Amino acid sequence: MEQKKSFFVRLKKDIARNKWKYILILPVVVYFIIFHYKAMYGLVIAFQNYRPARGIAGSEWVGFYHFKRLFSDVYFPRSLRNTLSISVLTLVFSFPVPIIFALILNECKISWFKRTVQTVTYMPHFISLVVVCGLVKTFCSSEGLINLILGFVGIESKESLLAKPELFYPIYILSGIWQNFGWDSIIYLATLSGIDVEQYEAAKIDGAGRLQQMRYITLPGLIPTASMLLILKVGGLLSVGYEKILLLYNELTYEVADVLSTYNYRKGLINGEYSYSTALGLFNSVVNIILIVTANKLSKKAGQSGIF
Amino acid sequence: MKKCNKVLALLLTGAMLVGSLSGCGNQTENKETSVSVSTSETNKASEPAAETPSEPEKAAVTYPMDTDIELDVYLAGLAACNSVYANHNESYWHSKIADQTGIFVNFMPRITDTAAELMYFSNEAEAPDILCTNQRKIVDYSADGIILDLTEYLPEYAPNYWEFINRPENEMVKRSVTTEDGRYYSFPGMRENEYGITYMGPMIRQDWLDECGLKAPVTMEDWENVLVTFKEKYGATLTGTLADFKTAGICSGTDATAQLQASLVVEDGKVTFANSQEEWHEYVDILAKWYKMGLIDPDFFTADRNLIRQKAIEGKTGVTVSALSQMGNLIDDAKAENTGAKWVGLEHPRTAAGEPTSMIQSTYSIYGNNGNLSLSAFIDEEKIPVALAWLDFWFSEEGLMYANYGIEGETYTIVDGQPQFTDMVMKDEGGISQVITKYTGWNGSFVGIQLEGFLRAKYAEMPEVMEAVDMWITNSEARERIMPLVTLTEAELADYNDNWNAINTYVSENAVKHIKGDITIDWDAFNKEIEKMGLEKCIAAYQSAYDRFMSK
Repeated sequence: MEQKKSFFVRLKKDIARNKWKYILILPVVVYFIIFHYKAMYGLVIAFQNYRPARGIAGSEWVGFYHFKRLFSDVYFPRSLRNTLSISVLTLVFSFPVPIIFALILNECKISWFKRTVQTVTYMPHFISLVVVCGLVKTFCSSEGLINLILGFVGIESKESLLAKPELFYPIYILSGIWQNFGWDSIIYLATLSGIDVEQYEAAKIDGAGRLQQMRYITLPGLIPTASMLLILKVGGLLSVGYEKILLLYNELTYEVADVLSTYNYRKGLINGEYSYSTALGLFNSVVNIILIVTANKLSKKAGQSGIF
Repeated sequence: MKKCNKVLALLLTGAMLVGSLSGCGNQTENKETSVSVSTSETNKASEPAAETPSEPEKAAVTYPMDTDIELDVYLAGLAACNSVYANHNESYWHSKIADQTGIFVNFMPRITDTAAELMYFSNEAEAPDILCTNQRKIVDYSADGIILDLTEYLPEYAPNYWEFINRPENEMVKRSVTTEDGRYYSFPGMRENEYGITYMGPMIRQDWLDECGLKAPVTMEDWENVLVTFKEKYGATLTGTLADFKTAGICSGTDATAQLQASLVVEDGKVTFANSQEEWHEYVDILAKWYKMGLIDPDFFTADRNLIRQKAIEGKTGVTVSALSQMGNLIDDAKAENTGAKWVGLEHPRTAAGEPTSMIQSTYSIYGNNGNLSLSAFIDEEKIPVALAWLDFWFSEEGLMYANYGIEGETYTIVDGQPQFTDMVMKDEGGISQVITKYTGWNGSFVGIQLEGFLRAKYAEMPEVMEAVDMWITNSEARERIMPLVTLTEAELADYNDNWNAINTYVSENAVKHIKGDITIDWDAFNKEIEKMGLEKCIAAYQSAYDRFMSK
């Protein structure tokens, strides 16, 4: 009782002092309450046989039926495994690239060169995914650019590269890196430029070489930002965007490329299965929350600040 | 200087805002893809009348009608705003309907989100008078009480349609538009005969056949011979997209009834799984053999239609299986690039010369793409006769002509007994495929019946296309085996949905891998595996639906 009272009293005092800040943030809070928290009520349709005409109140309750359907599908283990593989591999390989790139670019002293490189590298981010996948498909065709280049190096390959399951992950990840590393590096470069120049000068006076400067000043400066971004990315582990996979996969690569979202996309084509896809989405979200909370805890344990 | 900067900043922000608002653009249409109805099941063509409906005996209504009542009509099909006209008032055809029928109609704007559309239909105050549905939706909407039961009204207020649907040759159509208990809920949008429903098949370069002294291949051996010759002489291969080979391949060559995906067919009244039949195994084996011999393009598994066009231009392929639109493209490309290629349609292969082909690509004669028109259950009582008269118009003599050709003298003329589109239509800048939606009732589905003549008139400038369709349509015996447009109950649908995707994935994945040579399928193990996936439940569901359909 005592503590509760004190909290509200504190809150009141804070509002009185910072009235305008609270008013500024009020629309945002209202937005989240209405469009996100209130909308969460809609999750209940995952436990029903939802029919839009009957509305939520009128639809039949089926409990965990849709989840049972989801988990008992023959291909569920495979699609779950593929989802996790793609996410984890993407994270492992594409997370360090913007960081390394930012570190290297940061060392560059020629200002105009630095700016040009930055602009050129983040341009691919703006290209539509469909266009990028079109490019990838053309380059990977049996007489496409990649096979041509391989031919010059002496490797004869007459196969369409996207027809080979073992090449799917490399193609998927590398094209993703190419498209996104420039844009993702912006935030790191911004962080790096915020590091106090005096620290570098002090280090130089103490006799530190470039590499040692990087190790003791630059990297520690980056770690808070990097760990925050890492936690956020971990929270998206189960939500592999299906558009790119849909554009690049085919029957031959199903066994590595067919993820939860693409498999259930095909399943839902027959009928507008609102409840089933909501159940799938709920499952995704629950797993993602567990992952993000775990990652946050680990990050705190490791001495870094977590997100919350 | 400071003021200048402020003004500049404001102007730029304003320009940005305007730019972002202009993003509400128009949807472009792709006519052929919107025509393809269901892709996962084999299709059955109903057998509708080949003649136009006769004059109604009791001319209850003459058009144009004399009435003040206005109707709100919601037509789906392609987006209401398409690239040719911004709204229905700008469409020549839509704006003249009132003159023809005497009934003024408001065309309601299209709602693309299905859930929102359903809310719109369910809203008593706002629902349109006439709305669009399809087979599945008729069952759902009637159960939910959104559409009106028309059975009592039809004989009196829609004599043309009533007479049409009750003709003996339209038996299958009647079965498709009525619910389980024989009640009518909609006016279908449909194609007159096979000409409208066949639009995919094999095509070949006639100039190469001539050069090699070969005749058009008939059996699978002939095909192999042609492919081997093409490969030796031109280095060319058989190619196509996997998507096209799923809806229309050459499975008829072994009398198989499924393409490269799972499907259920009807053999002597029993629903059977096409992919466990020997013939289908033979088909996949032959494709695997051809791939090993290098006769099939390695890009076959990943190509899209544009890549195929590119290969055709470069002379890397002489045979493919695709749709009419692709054929039109290949012909245009050959002209534009001066390759001398002469693309023509090719008959589906068969087991022996003279035998009928077993499986042909065709879809249902009734447009599945929301081509049915129903009355909202919330319509005013007094509007019902007028609404039914409007819908019945499309089944009358004048309505049929208007929907298919437009206005005589303006959009079409009769030449040698056949309607031909005038220059106004054919020479319109938008190109015939686009502008046809402005001058006729075609919009991804059709209002009433799409006549064979419509297609002939539309493709008047590309005779090879109509010849190709002639070749691709074959016998009606094969049609007997294709599953008709049955509707499943909710319980049956649940059973089916749970298992079918897994089965389909298994079938197409293994078939394609077998063709590529990555695996060799042991067909017995294949069949057993599919049984384990719940095939029986799917078959049982469709069997009961089929039995109900046939006993209607």
